[in-house]
Amino acid sequence: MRFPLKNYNRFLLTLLFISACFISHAQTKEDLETYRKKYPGQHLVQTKSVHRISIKMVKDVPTVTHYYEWDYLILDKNGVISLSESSIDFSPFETIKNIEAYAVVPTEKGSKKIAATNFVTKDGEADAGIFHDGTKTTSFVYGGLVEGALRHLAYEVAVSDNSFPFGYSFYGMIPCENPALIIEMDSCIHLKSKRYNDANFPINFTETLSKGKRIMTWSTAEDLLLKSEEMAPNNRFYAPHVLAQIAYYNTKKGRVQLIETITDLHNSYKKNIAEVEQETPSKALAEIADSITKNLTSNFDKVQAIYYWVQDHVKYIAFEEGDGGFVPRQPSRIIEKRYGDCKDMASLIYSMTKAIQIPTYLTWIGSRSLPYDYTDFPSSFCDNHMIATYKENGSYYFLDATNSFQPIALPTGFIQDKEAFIHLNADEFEIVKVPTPDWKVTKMIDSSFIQLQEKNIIGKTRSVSTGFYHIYLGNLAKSVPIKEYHNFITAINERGNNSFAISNEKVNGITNRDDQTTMSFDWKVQNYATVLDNEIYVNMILNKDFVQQGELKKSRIAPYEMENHFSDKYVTTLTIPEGYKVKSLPMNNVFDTDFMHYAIEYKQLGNTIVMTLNFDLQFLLLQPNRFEEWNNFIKIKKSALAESVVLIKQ
Amino acid sequence: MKLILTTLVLVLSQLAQAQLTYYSKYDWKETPEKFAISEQDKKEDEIILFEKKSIEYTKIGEEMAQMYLSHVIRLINTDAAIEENNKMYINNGTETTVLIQKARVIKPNGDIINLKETDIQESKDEEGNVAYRYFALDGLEKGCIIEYFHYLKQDPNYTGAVMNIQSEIEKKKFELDIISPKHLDFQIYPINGMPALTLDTVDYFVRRKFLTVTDLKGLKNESQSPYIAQLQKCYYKLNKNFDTEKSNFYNYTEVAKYFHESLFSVPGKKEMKGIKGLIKEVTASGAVSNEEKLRYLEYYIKSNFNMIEASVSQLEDLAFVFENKITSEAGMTKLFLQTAREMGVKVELVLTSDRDENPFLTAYEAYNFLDEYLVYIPELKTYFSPSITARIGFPPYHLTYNKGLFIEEKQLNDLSIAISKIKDIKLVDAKESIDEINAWVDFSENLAEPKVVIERKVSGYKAIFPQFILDFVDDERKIELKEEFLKYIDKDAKLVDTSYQNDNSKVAGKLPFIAKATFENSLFTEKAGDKILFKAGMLIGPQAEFYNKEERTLPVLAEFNREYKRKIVIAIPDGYTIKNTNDLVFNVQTSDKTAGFVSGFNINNNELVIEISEFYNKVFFPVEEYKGYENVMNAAADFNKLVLVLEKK
Repeated sequence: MRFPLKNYNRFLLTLLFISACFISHAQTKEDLETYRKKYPGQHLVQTKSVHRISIKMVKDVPTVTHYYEWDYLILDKNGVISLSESSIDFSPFETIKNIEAYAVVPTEKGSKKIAATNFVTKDGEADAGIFHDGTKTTSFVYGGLVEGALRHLAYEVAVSDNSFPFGYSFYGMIPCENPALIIEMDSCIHLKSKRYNDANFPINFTETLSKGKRIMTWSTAEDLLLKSEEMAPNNRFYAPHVLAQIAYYNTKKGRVQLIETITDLHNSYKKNIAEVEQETPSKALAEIADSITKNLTSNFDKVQAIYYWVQDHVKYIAFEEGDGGFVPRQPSRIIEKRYGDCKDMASLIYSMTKAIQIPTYLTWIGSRSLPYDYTDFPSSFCDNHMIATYKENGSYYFLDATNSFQPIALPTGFIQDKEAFIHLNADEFEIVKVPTPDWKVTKMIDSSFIQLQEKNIIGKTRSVSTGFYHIYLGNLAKSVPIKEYHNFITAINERGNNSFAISNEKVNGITNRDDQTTMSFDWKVQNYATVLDNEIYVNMILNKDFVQQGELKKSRIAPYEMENHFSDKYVTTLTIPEGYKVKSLPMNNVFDTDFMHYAIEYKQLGNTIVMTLNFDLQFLLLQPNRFEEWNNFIKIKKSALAESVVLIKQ
Repeated sequence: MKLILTTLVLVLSQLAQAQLTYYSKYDWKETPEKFAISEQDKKEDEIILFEKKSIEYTKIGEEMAQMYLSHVIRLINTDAAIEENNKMYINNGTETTVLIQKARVIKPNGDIINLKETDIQESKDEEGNVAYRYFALDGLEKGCIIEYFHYLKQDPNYTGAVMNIQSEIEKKKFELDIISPKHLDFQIYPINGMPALTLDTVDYFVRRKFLTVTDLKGLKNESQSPYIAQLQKCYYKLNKNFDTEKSNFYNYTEVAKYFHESLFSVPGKKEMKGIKGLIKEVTASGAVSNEEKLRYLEYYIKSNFNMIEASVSQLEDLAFVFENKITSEAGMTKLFLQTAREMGVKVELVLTSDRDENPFLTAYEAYNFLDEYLVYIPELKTYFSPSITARIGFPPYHLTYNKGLFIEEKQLNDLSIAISKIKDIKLVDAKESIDEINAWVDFSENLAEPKVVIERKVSGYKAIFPQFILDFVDDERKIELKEEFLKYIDKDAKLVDTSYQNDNSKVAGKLPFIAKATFENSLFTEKAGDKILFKAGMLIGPQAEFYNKEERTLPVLAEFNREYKRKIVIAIPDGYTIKNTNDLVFNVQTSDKTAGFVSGFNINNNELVIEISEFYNKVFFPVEEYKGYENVMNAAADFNKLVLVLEKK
């Protein structure tokens, strides 16, 4: 039989393709043992992870297409479970094409290819915390996966907006070999790029230019293998990766800036807020702004009143479909709806202050999950959040109403130490660093007077919490139903052991943003002290969990992250029971470094013993080279926890 | 479970002609109703002032449909209630058409904000059908009333459905209608104190049963209670056709027939080849007894066939399953059942329900109690479950202490038929699920920091999950997880000389998981001048407590029967004595002795041996037995605080 030439060619091609698979599988079969030895205890290895980006000039505009290719080799049967079902998520800016998904499965004779089936595309589930974001998901099912099988996935993504930056991570939770990012572009297109966290994990970079094409390649022999670590910042803070962005391109008409500088980024962003800027505050909006500020005289008080009103009356619900991810909705609509996302709240504050002739400024900012700075690598990777900024006498107030219990004097916790990109007008902007409030701002002072009743302890406590502690408590208290309030106050003050019970609780200031939380209560803990013959043993550190984190492992890769700086102080006064005297007191101790302070002191004053415990932390990220000091502290703390006061009958 | 029975089509073809549905003109009041709101009402986060639900079975065009009406008026008092109610989702399923969907917010000053049709988002499934609709409510503030009304056309469910009328939130007035064409009767089975519905004798066009309840109290959830099972609710299903005089359409005999056909079906050539292949694997494993063989079969199929979530239609077709190595829970059940049968082991299919939500009823047969699969193995007197984490002998505990429909295959001459019976799915004995700690404490080298060796040994339900999960993590995580298994006793301790046995799913359900280590740097001792305080109680591990709790209103339904055994051996250093050993003696038991915390000690040659047994030989404790249960739990929590004092003689 003769094949028509065309068909014959196709037949050959198919044959070639299949045999290529067989060859590649033959290799993997041989390599399976090698991989198992190389990655003991792993169930999977990623034998291919390539992200290729092609940027071509189409009608004088750079057009971006991404090509992804991933192969997973299943090292043992426990690796199958996570691979049978797979999916690709894509946003309204992306179009997915040419999905190639199959498994190469070992058989007695060699191997066979089984194509994935059940391709289904539907509306995706929005990310956590977002109500609606317009993403779609294509999911599919791989059949035939067994130990030794190779799972292949490749597809193309066309992106409609060429100002989006690109990123590639050289790290993961599964071993990955020869990961690479390859960007090919017409030579008139100019990219900027930056490598992050590659000091101890070098990323190779090559650039070639020939025949009007520039090819930039970043690669490593393998990914940095990460594991999940508690109290760690986002991986991006310490794991190797690359960012790239089209900076500008040349056309016959001349150079066109895309995003090279902060000014370019500003020019790109300001379109998104033009509508909000141009809107005249609606009547309803102006009336509310007037009514809540009419009895106030200073601008500061007025801005504060508006800021708090938005926190109290606008609930956080995020709709981020398409441009909605970047463009705030009109303030006149938000004030009616009483809900919105960060941009909506920022634009509402902006418009309400405008209505009473006080300027505030729309401001882009990244949360602490992003390590990037505008001043270092300006791109839309720097931000994921929007706030309003108020300036007065050289001071900046960062107004972020997404937290509904936030005093004006403090920034929200998750934007501390971040660059705020403040839009002053169409031509001007400012970059200002959000401060990190120091330990004096966030204090907890707990003063307790305790008495022994056989093995039980009867106590009276007064505690004061300020700064981020106050914000934390206020946020909790707001959502506690009245009938649950007693249990709530009990839970946040628990000490001694789980028999802790309180009475006569009084709480002041907890729901007032600009106040501090003051709590006083009587309490009882059972079976706490040990009484034997003529002696009583009492451990006066009632809250043994005053440090949340234990020893930090030497093998830990991630820095240790704290929410904020703080200072804790416990002053516990024990009345020596009548007829008893002090036999021995625990040791006093101090531990001081530039990032923390700890001190414990016991003293007898008349018929009382006073224990004072101080614990202050002054860092947001503690880097691994300081872990040893931390661990030294943990040892000292531990020995302090293991010491009791001894009282003896006179 | 979806069953399609052809007989039904016949029943329904003779339905009433009415084109208008009973509530097709129903609407909310143009001017919102005024409600009297007491000071007490304002103390709740939210109150349902009015709720109406109606299910109407009717003919729309040529097809039968189920019209579902929901009208709710809700008072919002707090920020928490605003957050809870400002987003609404309505699940369309694939068989739902939304006819009316309205919502409005009535502000404290009387202003009304209506939901705009354009604010409703739709999420579409793979066929472009609306899977669910969702929207956010505008203008919510404290003191608002949210009024919500929808009217849906759905594919009818005749085979068994449930309506929970009670929730955590108090309802001032609740109305329910179940409506059918005149000649059809729905059987309604209310439980947990829900009043019966009344037949409307006035309306001649439809058969309407209705109920109005005022002041339906909210039911507060309590720890370890089968909360959903306790709610006032009713089950309902189509039961009778007055025209044909036929009734009892949905009964377990029909179900047995259906499942006999689908799961016990005679395997085809390809299927048989696969089954024989499995039997070959079982033989090659060296398993001898039927129990060993079935355990290996279970391990083999669960680790070589991947159960997936995606709805692929062939997942119960064994030919497809053998080819693609993917399946569903029903497919996994069929795989086990058919292979066991081929091996000559007698097995029965069991269909049951989740006892924590809808415990299996015997007085009322409906298909909503049949959505979980088990396979009963009479010669082992135990069960296989398709769930990936379950093992023979330990079916998922929420299916035990329940009843189930047991379907058995019998040969009648040449005919293979299904016989079904409702039987108990019994709890597994406490002795099968033991959590044991053996600790050795030696002060001889260091008085302040004794050497503490701890062995923890868990079996049955206590072991299956850790053994299972360890197969799927990498080595480093495996070490962490295994250490955590010991470190729950003292999270800051450093473990050395660790050893583990049976740390994989292959032996799960059969052999205990054993972990042993020396604890260094532990918190077990405290210094008190020249005395050593040894926190012996800590060695039993942290304990749940029920101190200071409000009066109990719901029964306890614990997970499974279990026993905690602890043995602590303390070598008392020379020249020292422990005086307060009498504190170690506890004997707290429930009046029927089914649960208890019993401890005692012995001193031999300067060795103090403490032995503790904490046992729970039943899982259900009605409110009147709660106090006894609480005493046992609290005894363990008290023991946990116990400190021994070592002092010089």
